[in-house]
Amino acid sequence: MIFSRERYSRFVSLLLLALGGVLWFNFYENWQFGTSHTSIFRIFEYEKLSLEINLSSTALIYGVVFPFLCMGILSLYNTLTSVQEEQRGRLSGLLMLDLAFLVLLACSTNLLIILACSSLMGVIGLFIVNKFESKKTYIFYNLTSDMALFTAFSIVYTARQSVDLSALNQYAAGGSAPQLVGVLILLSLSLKAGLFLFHNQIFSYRHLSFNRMILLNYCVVPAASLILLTKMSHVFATLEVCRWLIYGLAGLSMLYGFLGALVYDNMKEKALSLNVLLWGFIYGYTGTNPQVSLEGLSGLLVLFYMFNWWLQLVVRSFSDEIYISKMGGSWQRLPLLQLMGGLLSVVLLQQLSALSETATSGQVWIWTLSGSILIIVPYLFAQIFYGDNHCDERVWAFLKNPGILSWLPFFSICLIMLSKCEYYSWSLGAAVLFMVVLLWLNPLRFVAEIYEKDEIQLAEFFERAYEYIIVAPLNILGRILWLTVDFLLIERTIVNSFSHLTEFLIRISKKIHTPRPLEYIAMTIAGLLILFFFMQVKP
Amino acid sequence: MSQRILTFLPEFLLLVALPIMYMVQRYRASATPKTYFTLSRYFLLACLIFTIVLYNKSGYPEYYENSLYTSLFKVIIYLLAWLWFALSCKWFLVEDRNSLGFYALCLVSLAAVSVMISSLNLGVMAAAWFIINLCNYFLLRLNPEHDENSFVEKSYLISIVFFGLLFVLGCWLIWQSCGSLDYGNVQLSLQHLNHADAKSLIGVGLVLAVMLFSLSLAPFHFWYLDFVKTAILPVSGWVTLIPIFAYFASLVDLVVNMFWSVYPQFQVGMIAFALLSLLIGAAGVNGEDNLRCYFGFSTVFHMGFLLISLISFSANSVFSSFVYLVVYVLSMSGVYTSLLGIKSKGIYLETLSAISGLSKPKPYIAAVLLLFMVSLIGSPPMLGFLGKLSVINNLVLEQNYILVAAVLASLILISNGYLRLVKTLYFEEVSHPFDRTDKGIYIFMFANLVVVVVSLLHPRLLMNDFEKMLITVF
Amino acid sequence: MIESLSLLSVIILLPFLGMLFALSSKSDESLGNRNAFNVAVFTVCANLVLILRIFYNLDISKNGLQLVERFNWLENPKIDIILGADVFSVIIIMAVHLAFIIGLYGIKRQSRQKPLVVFGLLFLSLVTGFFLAADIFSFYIFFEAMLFPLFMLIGIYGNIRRDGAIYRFFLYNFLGAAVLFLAVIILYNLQEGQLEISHFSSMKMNEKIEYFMLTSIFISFLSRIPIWPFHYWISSISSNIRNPLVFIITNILPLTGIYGFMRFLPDGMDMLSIFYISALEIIAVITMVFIALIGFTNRDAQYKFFSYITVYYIMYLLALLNHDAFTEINIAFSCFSYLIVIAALEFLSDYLYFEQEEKGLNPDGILCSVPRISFAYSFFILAAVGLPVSSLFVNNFLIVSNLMSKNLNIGLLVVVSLTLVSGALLKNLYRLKDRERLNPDKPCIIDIKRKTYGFLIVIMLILLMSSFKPLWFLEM
Repeated sequence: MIFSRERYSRFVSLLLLALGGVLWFNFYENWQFGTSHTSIFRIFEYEKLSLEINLSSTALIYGVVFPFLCMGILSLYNTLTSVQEEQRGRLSGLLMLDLAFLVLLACSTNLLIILACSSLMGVIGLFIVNKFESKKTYIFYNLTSDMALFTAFSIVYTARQSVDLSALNQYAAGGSAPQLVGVLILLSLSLKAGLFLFHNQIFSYRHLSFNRMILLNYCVVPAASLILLTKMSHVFATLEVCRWLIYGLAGLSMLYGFLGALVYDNMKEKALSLNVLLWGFIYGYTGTNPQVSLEGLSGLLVLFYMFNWWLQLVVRSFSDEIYISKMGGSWQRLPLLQLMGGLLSVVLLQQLSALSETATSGQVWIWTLSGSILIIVPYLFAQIFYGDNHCDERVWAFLKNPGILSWLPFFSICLIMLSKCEYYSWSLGAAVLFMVVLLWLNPLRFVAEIYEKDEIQLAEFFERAYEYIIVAPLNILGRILWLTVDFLLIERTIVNSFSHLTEFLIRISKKIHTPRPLEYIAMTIAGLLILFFFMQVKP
Repeated sequence: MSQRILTFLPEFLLLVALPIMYMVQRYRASATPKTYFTLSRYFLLACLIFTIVLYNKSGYPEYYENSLYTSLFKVIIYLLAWLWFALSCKWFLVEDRNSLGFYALCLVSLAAVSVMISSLNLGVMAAAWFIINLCNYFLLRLNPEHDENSFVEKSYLISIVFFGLLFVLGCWLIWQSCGSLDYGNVQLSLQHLNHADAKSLIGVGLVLAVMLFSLSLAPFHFWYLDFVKTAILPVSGWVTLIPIFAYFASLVDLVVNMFWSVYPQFQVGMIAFALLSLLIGAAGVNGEDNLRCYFGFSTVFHMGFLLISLISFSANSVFSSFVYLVVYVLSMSGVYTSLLGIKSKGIYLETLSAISGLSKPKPYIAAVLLLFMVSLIGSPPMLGFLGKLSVINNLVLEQNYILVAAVLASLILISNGYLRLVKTLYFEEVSHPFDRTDKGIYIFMFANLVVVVVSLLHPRLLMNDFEKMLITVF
Repeated sequence: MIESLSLLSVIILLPFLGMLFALSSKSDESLGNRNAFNVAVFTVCANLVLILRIFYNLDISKNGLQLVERFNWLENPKIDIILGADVFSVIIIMAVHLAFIIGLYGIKRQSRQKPLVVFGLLFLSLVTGFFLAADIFSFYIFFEAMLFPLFMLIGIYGNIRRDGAIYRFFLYNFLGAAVLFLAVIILYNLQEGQLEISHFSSMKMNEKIEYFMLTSIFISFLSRIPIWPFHYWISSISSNIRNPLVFIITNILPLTGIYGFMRFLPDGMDMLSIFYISALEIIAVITMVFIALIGFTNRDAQYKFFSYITVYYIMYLLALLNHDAFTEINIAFSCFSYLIVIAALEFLSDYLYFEQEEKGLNPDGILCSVPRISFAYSFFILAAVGLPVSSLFVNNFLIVSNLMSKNLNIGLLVVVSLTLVSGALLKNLYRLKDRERLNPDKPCIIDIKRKTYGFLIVIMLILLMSSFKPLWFLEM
């Protein structure tokens, strides 16, 4: 905000990137060396409640935060290099602030601080979202999510008189309404992550620029949701109803993500579908298993981020053409982009294979994700690079490979990850081969026909469903209540009856008093009668 | 003998002013309205001083007695009269009219009021009552547009004659039963009489009816509304502020020292009068547009309130109703002072719609009216609250919860009516150009406010010292 | 009457004196008719300093009224005026003063300021007295007296449908005051003398009297709180008034009802109290959800705002019914931010409204061209919805927890209502920020001045500080 002027914005962005880089390095070191720090700032202490900012860190926390920090740095870099971004300084500042809260969220064991951090990340997200349509959805999903979390924590505090995270786990094990608390937390996290049924929020980001869209998906609210998930997985593991709900939501999210990645014509929606697929996987895989931490999934998270980035580069190469149906046949003109995508796919498969090898449970989720990737990636390659050329002339004329500022870091990261993973097996080779075969055969080419169908491409099934199920009944109920209770009962009955009574009395009083002799006599007689009528004659 | 006559000196002084005024009228060519006011003022001042000096001296104790009780009322009346004389003088100056009739009649009326308050004999009281009302009649005729055949004048005359006759009839019946019209004797006789003695009961009833008529309690309120609407502004104010004190003091004196043994038989009837007045007064205030009638209905309401409080005639109820009366009169005097300051093109405005938006051109007059309206509603922190507090507290002490409920309901109703005036003053647009207001009016309004504020901040005088004086009536 | 004059009486008298000065001030054209305004600002600021001084004199760890002052007033009936303060009352008074100052800033541009300032200061004096009243008579006196300036303000600045609004205001409030008056007199006679409010809750009464007392208390205090069927007056006023100071003052009134409940609710719960409180809880919750629903669906921004205010007040009321000292102090802290936030929001809403009326604009997207207001408005909305930028965050958490500890269903319904009204506010905010609906052919509104912006920044800082520590100023 301080450097809101456009001419400083690139400089500020660079400065913040440098700062982020230093932080990243520091985190990486601490993570690798297992350093732990203790630092607690007490905010205030009530009679029955104390609040503190806990920045005590352990290797585990560094591990949890690290992938987000990586993605944060990448986002800072993207912001700096993005041509479309107008407010680089502001966005970078917001991102840094967001990362700070993310770190605090990961460190904190105090429910109120957790709530505050997740809410504040929501607020930062709100400033990052710069399109009205997205903002509208975003704000309602986040509000509901925060209120659900607020309610759940309130119930826990009520029962345990403590705002420590351990109280939540204790409550889940033996509280009076643990299932309610569990469902509320799950609702909150699902809303933040944008799991199936609550994915509208994620999909509303399609109105934003690619850079902001990716950033919001990986560094802001869904990121908070994932960190919260690692903190709350004990609760979900304890409660059977939550377990089943997580399985259901995660499974459906993966299905929806998979189908969305195939069916949607819009590249942003494809990217978002992939993200829903990933969140579904993470929830299914880690949600009910406290033993599995995000640390193990950090590589996967970064690679999905990179996949989004790659899709962004594709769009940029096609002169910001957003529809995949208007691409194709460019394999000769965009070799570098293909290479980047190919390498990324290999690294991704390598990570998944490694995960499958080391995982003690949840294999089904890993296989499902891997299967989805194996189908989606060749399909996308076929649509973008092969087959007939659907580009318009202008786009075709300006087709270009990504510049050095994009491909250099991209390749560097992929290669670093490839070498770091150190997992090479026959299954990885088989998977790559399978992908190549699929790319050659392109069995899903009929799916491309769906791109033409507006009823699918433009349909907003869930938004409409919520409109009909929640908003419309609320509107009608509110209107009916207003008309019946407020207007008819109070205004027309209670208030008006008093005013009518007053008018009636005024009429009587005017009738009684008219300057006519007969009225004078009548009133004199009436007075005397009253006096003597009520006279109580005692014997 | 001379000492006995001396006790009448205050009343005598008031009457002495009359021939002097006449002579001034006759021999002083440049006599202005102020001249008669000045004369009245000096005689009134002298009267006031002697009333205080002779506060407990009684020349003819069988007919007439001065006590702390009577002197309290008289002093208040004289002070109010002094104030009203001064304000009326402004009116006469503006209208450029001869004020001799007004001041002369008022002085006579004051003398009669004084006698009525101190009287210990029903006959004397009846005579004084008649003189007061006769003076009122002639005051009513001071209206320049008066018409010999005017319905209001005629009906007022007929009414006072009729009620005067009822008073006489009542006295005669009491005399028949008790053989005397002296307070003490009648009280003793009534105590020993059979409760079912029709003559005495009817007699007492008739006298009470006259008192209720004088206090303009509904349904005997008809005369009062037409009177205040028709008479000139100084006369309306006079009738609203001054005689009420005398009637109140006399009613209390009559019931406590004369009809005490039979009064309980009339209590329900009195309650009916009070409730009817509350209802009609409150409804009238809500519906009336003429300012004088508006405040006339307001008086009817407040008289009802007063009677409700007075109903048991215990020391506490007399005290609380007295406080209420003082508060009411102070507020009403403020209201009439304000009315004297509201003119448009030389004409005193008399309708609610005519004074709309007054707060903009005349903020101080509007503010004063506003404050007195709040006071009349009985809302704290204004003085009216003390009156309301005193009355309701007394009713609660007597465990008369139904009356309390009726009083509070009627208070809400009348508040709505008073707020109509406030709305007109403050929330509506100006409909007339207003004339410049005399500085004297502002001074009087300010003085009135000072009295109100002092009474509010230091209510011991009103609530404590007056109580000691009032209980001497028992 | 006055035996000693101490701080409590001074903070009541100072706005009253200010009112007199404002009343006698000249409407000088060369000063932009600002004399009355300047007097008001000076008075309120001076009073705020005194209020801070009172805070330093208070022992915040102690329960019960402190710094008690007593004045003999009446002899028959014997009535003393007793004043006293505790943390709750002083923090509320402070919030009222801050809200008032914000309201004053809101009227800075208006031409007819004098009556507004005069009645406003009178109200401030009386409402301060109300929160400091320690005996039943002074409590009643201030309770009713504050209606008068409010009546005038609503009447003068109450906009087009004011007649109806005033009528309802009058009907409900005067009825409530009349009932309380009767209850006070009966209590006085029952006690045979002056009764301190703190003794009321532990007073022994027979069944009939208790029945009457509870009925009276409920009617009189509920008439101030927008609870069915008493909510109508405040809703019709709130949706009509387009004057920030009047709106703020009107919406302080329900707080007096809530405060009344706090002071008068009986300690022990017998069958009768339980019946009343249960009935109240049911009505309150239904009203809360009902108004939240209407607020969510209604397009009128003022109604949305009213529904927000109502839901908060009802939440405070429900929490107070549990009679828990810890909750009470939380309500005070929450209320501190709440009052400031609604005042600031009303100030900004009115500014936007008048700009938009002046330029014939649509409210959609109006904030896009005014970064200062946009930031301030967003901040206050976010504070209002309970995000951790004010004390509402922690204190609401504790209040809701308390509600849930007594009745989980009520707690959940409160949260649902809070969500709905927060949603309503946010919906409105994003309507104002909807750049796409902005008509580029129409002129833009003018942003607030730097000075005003600075003032709002100070208010934001106060809110932020209060989110860390409600009584932060004591440690300065």
